[in-house]
Amino acid sequence: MASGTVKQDLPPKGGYGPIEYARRLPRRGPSGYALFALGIGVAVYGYAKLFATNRRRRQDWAEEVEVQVSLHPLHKAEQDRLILRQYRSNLEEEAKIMEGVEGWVVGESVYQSEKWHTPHPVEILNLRPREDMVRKVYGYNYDI
Amino acid sequence: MILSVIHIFLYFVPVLLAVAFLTLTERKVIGYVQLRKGPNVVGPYGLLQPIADGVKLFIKEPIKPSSSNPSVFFFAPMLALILALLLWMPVPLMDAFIELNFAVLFVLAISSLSVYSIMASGWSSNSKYALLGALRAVAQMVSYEVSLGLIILSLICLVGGFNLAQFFSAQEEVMLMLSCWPLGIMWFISTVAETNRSPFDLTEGESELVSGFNVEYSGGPFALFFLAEYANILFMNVLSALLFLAAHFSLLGVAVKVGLLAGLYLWFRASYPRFRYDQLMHLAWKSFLPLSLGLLMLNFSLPLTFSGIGGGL
Amino acid sequence: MAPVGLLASVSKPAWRLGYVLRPVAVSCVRGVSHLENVGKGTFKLVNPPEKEDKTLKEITDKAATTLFLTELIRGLSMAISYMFREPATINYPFEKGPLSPRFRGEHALRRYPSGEERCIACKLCEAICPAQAITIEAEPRADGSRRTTRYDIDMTKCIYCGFCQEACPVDAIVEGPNFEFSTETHEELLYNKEKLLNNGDKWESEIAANLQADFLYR
Repeated sequence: MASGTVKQDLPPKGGYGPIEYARRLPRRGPSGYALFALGIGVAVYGYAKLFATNRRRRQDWAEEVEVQVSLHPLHKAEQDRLILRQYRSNLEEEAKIMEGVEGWVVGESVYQSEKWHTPHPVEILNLRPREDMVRKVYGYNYDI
Repeated sequence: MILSVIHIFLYFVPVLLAVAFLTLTERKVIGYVQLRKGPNVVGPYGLLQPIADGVKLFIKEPIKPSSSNPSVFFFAPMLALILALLLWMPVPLMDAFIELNFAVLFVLAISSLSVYSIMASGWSSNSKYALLGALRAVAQMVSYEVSLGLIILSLICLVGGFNLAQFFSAQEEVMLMLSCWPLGIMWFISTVAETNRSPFDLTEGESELVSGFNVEYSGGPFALFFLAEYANILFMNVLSALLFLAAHFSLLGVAVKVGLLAGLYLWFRASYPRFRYDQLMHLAWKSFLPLSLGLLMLNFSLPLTFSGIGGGL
Repeated sequence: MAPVGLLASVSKPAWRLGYVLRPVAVSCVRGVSHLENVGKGTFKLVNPPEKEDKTLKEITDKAATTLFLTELIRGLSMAISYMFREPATINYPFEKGPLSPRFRGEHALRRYPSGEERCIACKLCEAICPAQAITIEAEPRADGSRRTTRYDIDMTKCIYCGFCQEACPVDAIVEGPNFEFSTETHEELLYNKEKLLNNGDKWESEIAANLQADFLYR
């Protein structure tokens, strides 16, 4: 290498500039006012819609309750009919089974009072196949 | 009886599969953000990587530190995974596994319980790193549960019920994210902190704590912790989608939203540096707590004022 | 302080230690009571101190920045922009990066074109090896030439400094371009003369090309 032309790395004339250590983040995007206006506007719209939905939901619920209340006697009657039919067939079955037993009164109440007690499902379905009883007692849970 | 067993599996296997592929997605996304490629060797585009990982982890020997408390040591990861999967039970996707009227409270209770699995693992490892990681994790989760609970309370005031299905009917017209966007933002950040994810992954702190509460775990138990962590992440995303973004129920819609939120988790992890511990606690107690308390008052009084109290189905 | 206070307090004391860069050397020289000197020109503010009298617009902008996470979102968009750039990774086992002709990989013992081994057992490489990884034993052969009877390199000791090939007067021991010679056992990495000569035969064309490309600088 030709001597005398060695080029050494030197700082630029006047030295290096000051080191930038401070945080420098130019502001971009919409202004604070715009953002707050947007946010509050969206929130107001959302609340208005939400409250409208809530009012409708409460109305729907009231309607649902009314329907249930008006249907309740029908449901109850149908339920009672089913229970009584089953009860009667139970009595018939009982009479057949206990035919030869002395002093057996068919359909004798286990309670002291004369009042009608809606029998427990187990009592009603006692003479049915076990499958039916389990299904009645555990409902849909049995299937899953 | 067979049906009920199948039902349980139909519920949990998709969750675990989703967890497996979330880990793959995470590695891929973070890889591409960092100008890498991520796993791409096992299977097409690396799609079988999580399966290979799982097989590897479960055939490895679960090492037990000789000074640890073995029963607690092996009980903790099981508890973690059981709780993580239990959280999914009341989620009303099509039908809930169990229909709970107080599903929100159930979720809060179970997610609080998961603190114990972390504490047990850290403590029983008998290692200072694990113990410190567990302490950090517990303090962080407990702190952020406060803000999660308050935010949920606000939403309950608006929706008028604790049943997750009610959140769908309340958001039929417009999602809660619009009216409660400050709560939504805080909720999302709190879920990130609650699941100990970056930028709140103080518990891992690999520069000072190696790996946090699960340093001493290897093989199967570690895999259980891993699954539990990611199942929790996915569940938190499902919960966010149900609480804030549940307009028009459709399974695909929920899935897309959950996917986007999970993507946001990964995006956060790729973007942000870790918080300092005091900053973490300041965020919870000095920013989120007052804000969510104030917004709770607002959300409690607004429906009363404008006769928009929720309720019903 | 973008991620520091997501919704953190708007007003903060400017004189907080977290916001200053303090030259540690200065405070150490001062000795025991250096803490008293904090605040006397021993540090510089990284963040400009907050203004005392801010206008409403400035306050609103600041609040919007923290409440709407605008800076955090800018950070996110920066990260996602990297996701769509070309990855720097190459598919390593299938694609390989370029190697310098001076690359110092696995060792090889070369031969002359006649098939005679180059090494004359001068033991310069053994002498210079800083890790003492080379062991050489030599005897005169039947034709009177001096050759090695044993030339071992412990590849697990070797630090791949390249002194051996620099010391070699006949270019016999060289570090070739191969770096994929990992083994499953330690013993396989204790190379003997046969293995090294085989390496030389295997990589001769590449080694010769590298030496040719680099001979001006040797």
